[in-house]
Amino acid sequence: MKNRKLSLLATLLVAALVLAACPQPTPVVETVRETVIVTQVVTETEEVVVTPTPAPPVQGGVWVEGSSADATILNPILASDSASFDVLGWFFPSLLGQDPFSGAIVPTEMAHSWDVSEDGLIWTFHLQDGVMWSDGEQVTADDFKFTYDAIASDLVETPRKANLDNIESIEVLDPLTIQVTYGEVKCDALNNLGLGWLPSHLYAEDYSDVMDSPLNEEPAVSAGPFIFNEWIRDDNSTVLRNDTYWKGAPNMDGWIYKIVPDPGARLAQLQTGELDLIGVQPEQLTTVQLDANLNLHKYKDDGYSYIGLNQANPANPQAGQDEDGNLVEQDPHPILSDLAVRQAIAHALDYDAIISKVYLGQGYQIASNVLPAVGWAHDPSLQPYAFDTDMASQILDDAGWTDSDGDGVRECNGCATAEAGATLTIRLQTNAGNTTREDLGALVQDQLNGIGFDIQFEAIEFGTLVGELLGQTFDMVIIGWTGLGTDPNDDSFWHSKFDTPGSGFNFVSYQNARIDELLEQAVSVPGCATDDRAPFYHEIQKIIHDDIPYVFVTGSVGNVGYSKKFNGTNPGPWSFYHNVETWSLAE
Amino acid sequence: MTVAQADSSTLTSLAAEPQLRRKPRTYWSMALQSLRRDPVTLVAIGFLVIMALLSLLAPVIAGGIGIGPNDTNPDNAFQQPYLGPYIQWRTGLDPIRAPLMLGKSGGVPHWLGTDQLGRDQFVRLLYGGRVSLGIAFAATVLILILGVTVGTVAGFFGGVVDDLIMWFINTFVSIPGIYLLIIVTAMFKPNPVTLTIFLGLFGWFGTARLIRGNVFKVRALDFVLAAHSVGTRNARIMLQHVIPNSMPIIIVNAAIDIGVLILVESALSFLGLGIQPPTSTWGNMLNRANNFLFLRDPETEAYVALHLLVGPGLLITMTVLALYLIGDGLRDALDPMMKNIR
Repeated sequence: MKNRKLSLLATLLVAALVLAACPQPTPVVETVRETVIVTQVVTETEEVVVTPTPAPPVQGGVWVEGSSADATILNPILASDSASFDVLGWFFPSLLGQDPFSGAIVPTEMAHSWDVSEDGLIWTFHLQDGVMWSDGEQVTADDFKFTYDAIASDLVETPRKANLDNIESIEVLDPLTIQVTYGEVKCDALNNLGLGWLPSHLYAEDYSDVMDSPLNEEPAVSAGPFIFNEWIRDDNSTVLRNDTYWKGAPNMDGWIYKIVPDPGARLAQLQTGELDLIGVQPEQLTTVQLDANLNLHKYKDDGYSYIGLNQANPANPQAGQDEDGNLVEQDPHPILSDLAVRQAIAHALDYDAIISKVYLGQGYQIASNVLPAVGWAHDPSLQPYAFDTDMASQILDDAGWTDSDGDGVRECNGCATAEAGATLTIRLQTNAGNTTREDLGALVQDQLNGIGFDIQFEAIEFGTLVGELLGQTFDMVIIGWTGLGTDPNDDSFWHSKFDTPGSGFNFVSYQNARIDELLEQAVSVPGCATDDRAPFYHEIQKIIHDDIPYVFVTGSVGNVGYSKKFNGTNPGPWSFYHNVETWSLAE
Repeated sequence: MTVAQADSSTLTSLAAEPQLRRKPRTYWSMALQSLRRDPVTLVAIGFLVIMALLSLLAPVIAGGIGIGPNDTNPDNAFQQPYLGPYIQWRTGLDPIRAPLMLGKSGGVPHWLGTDQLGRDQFVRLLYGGRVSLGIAFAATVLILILGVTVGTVAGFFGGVVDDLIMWFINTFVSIPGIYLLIIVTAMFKPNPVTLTIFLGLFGWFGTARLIRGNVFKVRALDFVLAAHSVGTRNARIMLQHVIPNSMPIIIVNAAIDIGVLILVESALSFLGLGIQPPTSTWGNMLNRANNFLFLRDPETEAYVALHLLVGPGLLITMTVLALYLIGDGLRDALDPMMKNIR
């Protein structure tokens, strides 16, 4: 017993040393803040995920993932739902890999390296040699070209046609070299080359059978860690170990995708061991945490909640640019165009209380628009606005918003943007039925009214709210973005060309020539190297943080509960299974 | 036969007996007397009166406690009801917990605890009662006005008028009411006034049918015929003879309607289509509490939000039950036939 402990300790130490020596992507982990009262210094400690790898790994075992929805089609260019990709993701090789922790594009899949021409338009990808389909054929550049030509074909109906936008040509230079020529440099479009490749030797050359091939239901070959075995619709899909997987055959025998529609039943089956992995709902968290057989993977997701502050007069919505692309000066919002008011709002909210009470701990404070899940572009040095009502009141006093008649509501007495005597009355809206946002609204109303605002909060029907948002007739709105993806480009929220009343997502009418310029430069860096793009996003985050077109409330959090029966799991926000071939059954 | 033949002096002495000397009894005094012998109905009426008074006095009570319905205090969210610890403190069973809780809430006693934002549950229930009860009572008045008028006209005139009205009513009744309400509340932002109007406009069909049936019966009675025969005008007959004779049905129906409307308002709020937060109603408080049903304290593993469910749930149940009991008791009291059977 003692010996085992010692050897485990030794393994851990060795593994920790090895891990410390290798350059590793920094895992996004929970930062623990503890205040040391004696010194009044806040220390931040960071957990390092240590994965002990006992040798030799135990073979066998099956991993069962529970899902609410079933796959619809197992063809990488026809599928559009996440359940389909959960299953088909095992079989098809892809050009570009994605860092499981930062979301950056990395050469871990078929392309082991690439060259980019001086002007950034011609990309030459060099492919891994010796990658085989499970029937013995080699995976080559022809499979890639076949896949993208199929998307372009008139015989194929697919939502992926947009992946070809801006691509002028795809050429196979030799079986292991692909050359892609772009019309212009758009770095956020690089992900479009990441689709799974079809096995071209099994499809008709003219793409005529892509839509209705039996392979779409039963993929015969695989170049990934698992091979398709069986798919019983609305019940389960099973896949088996691929002994010829080029990164090394997995230790486990197979993987099952089991459909369990009811969230309560999923949790129960996770606890009994029938399932090994489920997405956990916030109210189920405690149950998972209290279960000694389960791990909880809490990760920072690609969405956030915010309070949008309309910079322009809601009575007079205007487009941000005229037809020639020149900036159109906006009719400013009588209150919210005053930076002091926006700063006061940002300082008046008790973010810790909001996250712990309204979001039940399922969130984290963010400083600006690029999330930590996109690790390479996120600027961790930027500090979120601190909760400080005294400072907020002081800012309002200094800016000429004071309560001269003593009714508890401030008026404009020498303020910059409103008429003298106008009260600090602002509408705050959110969509009815979203109880979290309704609670947030009630809290924001009470906290802002506490420093002299007169907030008129109402929850309205979602369609009506979207109408007011896109129509730009609101003052303040509580809403959020989800599914922002791995690329930090979010120009549709800030660029003045997307300030188009009725349709554009820059509905807060944010207008900043420098931001427009930075957003454009950040996606047109030749080569699109993350190191070259990051400085642009750091500056963008700084400016957005200082200008406060949004009050950033919280970043969203995802929760996954999983069993401890395999060693080696190391989930990241962008992938749970990225190292599945190294997992092995715990003894 | 012996009674009839008793001599007059015996009769006079009998009449002098206080138990046997009766005032002439009117219909309403008989009903009142019947009610007095019905403790269940009396308790129900008492409960309803207390609820109505508490709701009406909500601002005064809230002022006395020192907290408004929308005053948040996130640091003190999900505080358990102060009532229990207070009693334990006054009886000396637990001298520590109550002062601790009071310290945490800044001196404000949260008698029924606080919700997820640290708002006082008791004060919110009182304010919620204003809205829930207010809407139900006001909509019932609207229902009675519409239902009694239309029902009386249909029943009194009969023929084509009745056919048209019944056709209209039957068409509307065949559409599920909750659908209609969902549609209109989606189109118009629900606030207490619009919701009252909608509930009234979509709620009078049953009442009208009920009244119409009764009017059919009444208009064939001899005194109505007599009134007709002396040339009394229709409007006068309706107001003086027909409607007063439908009064028992109207009153009983009203009591039940209020109960139903409280439930409908709760159901709409539960669907997120009723009065929107931050205004509290019993229905939307219950709806919000539902999300926290399984919320547990990670340290003690105790469920922390059950008190949020119990308050509005119990008030809705008890108020609606009270109204049904009142309706039932009134039917007994107001129905002359039922009294004879007793």
